[in-house]
Amino acid sequence: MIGAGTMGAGIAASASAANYEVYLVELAAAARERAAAGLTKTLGRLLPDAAGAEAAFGRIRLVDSVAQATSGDIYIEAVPEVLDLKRTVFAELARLAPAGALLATNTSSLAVGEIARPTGRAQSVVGIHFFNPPAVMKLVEVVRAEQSSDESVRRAVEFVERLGKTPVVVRDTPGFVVNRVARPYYLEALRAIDAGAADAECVDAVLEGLGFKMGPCRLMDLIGLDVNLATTRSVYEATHVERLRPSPLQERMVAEGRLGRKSSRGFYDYGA
Amino acid sequence: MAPKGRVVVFGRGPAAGGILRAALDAGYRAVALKDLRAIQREVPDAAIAVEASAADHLRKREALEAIGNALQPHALLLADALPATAAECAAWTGQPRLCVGYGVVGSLADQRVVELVRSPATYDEAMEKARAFFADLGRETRDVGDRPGLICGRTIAALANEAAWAVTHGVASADDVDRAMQLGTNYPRGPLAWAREVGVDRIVAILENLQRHEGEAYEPAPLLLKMAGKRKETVTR
Repeated sequence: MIGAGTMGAGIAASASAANYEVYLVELAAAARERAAAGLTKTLGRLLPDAAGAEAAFGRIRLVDSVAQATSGDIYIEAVPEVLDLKRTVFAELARLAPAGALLATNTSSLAVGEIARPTGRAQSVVGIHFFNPPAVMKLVEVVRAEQSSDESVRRAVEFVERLGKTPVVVRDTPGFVVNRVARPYYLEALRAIDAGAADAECVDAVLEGLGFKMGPCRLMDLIGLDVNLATTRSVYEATHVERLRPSPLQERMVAEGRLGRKSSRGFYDYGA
Repeated sequence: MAPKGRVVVFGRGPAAGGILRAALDAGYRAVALKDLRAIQREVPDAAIAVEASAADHLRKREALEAIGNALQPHALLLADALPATAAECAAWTGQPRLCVGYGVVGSLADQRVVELVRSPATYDEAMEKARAFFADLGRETRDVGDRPGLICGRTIAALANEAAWAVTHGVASADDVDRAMQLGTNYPRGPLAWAREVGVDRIVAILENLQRHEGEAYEPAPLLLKMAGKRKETVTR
């Protein structure tokens, strides 16, 4: 695992709980310390048996460079969503990972094919997109890029299944399945509110009344309107279809700093 | 307690069936109407006439005209405001003051909150009767503005449409898209399975209503048209 943020640490915990030996690579010492504390907690939840959790913790080695993890079968990158950063990691993996290794990126918004380019072994590269929190969420999108080999996709699927999760194989397209198909849930709410058809509370009540766990406005407040808008923008900018055009209402709210719970104000007020 | 008025429900889809069952359960004398002759025969005795046509626009208009012609002056006409706006529905009835638009996507059994929408001419009294009727059926109501598809219809239809476009673009199979959405977002149903349950022709009708008023963003995906048994030529402008 390269990157010990929320996603990287969560994926490392899931893998060690499934009996994998894991090297968790993180440059920053502070982040390594945070990750160690997080791993203990996550493994305690995943494996109620204390001895089992301790053994799983023992299967994870926190290291500070890929050079200390050169015998891996599967490499998964989970560094921030910046193309150059991810490419740097993949260039390093191309140098240090064994020839037969599976190389995977946990990107949610970048093209896997673009990330794979500097490796010179794009056939070994796939996307393995976990959802947050990765130790809990069952779905994993296995992303087949144009040059991914069938064998690489098969290995990724098998890995995900061994973690007790459900893989869905998707093509390397903007937003893959979930982040793309979910856009209208937010966009239709925003458009209806912007047209004056209803307020946020009404929209949420109607959709929760249809069985959605959380109405779109409460959900955007939780996710952060800026984060939600960034996802819509990244899908829109890669496709330019009218259906997915970002909402001017959301742009205004983000510009005004109404980001949701984290700024105490979004569609709803959360006190100061 | 005074006996409840007579309710007639015109239509064939899950929406019509769900409202009819809920009305019977709530103690109304309710009957289903399947054609124009039944409308002419039954609507004059109805306190509440519910229009829940299948998707076809022309037949919806015919049904609303026939119901409007046969309606008593103090009755309530509830028009399905998902495939056409409430203003359009109300105008077709010729009795716009008695007409209230409502939004029920699929079976009412799956919907706790019902949107109500008035036309410019709708009487307050008609709105109150509509609220009381759905309250009697155990539902909350919300007044919303007359925008195509209301909230419930535009959301379910646009989700199904995006899912269908994703399948069309080869992102994943229809089953995988549904599975991913249920597991990845906690939606109560996969968008395409939901469309099938509601009736794909109804989803297409909601999208075409949105497309008429809001433009190309709501063009139904070819896969939805195929599932609904429609040819593409019927909708491209």
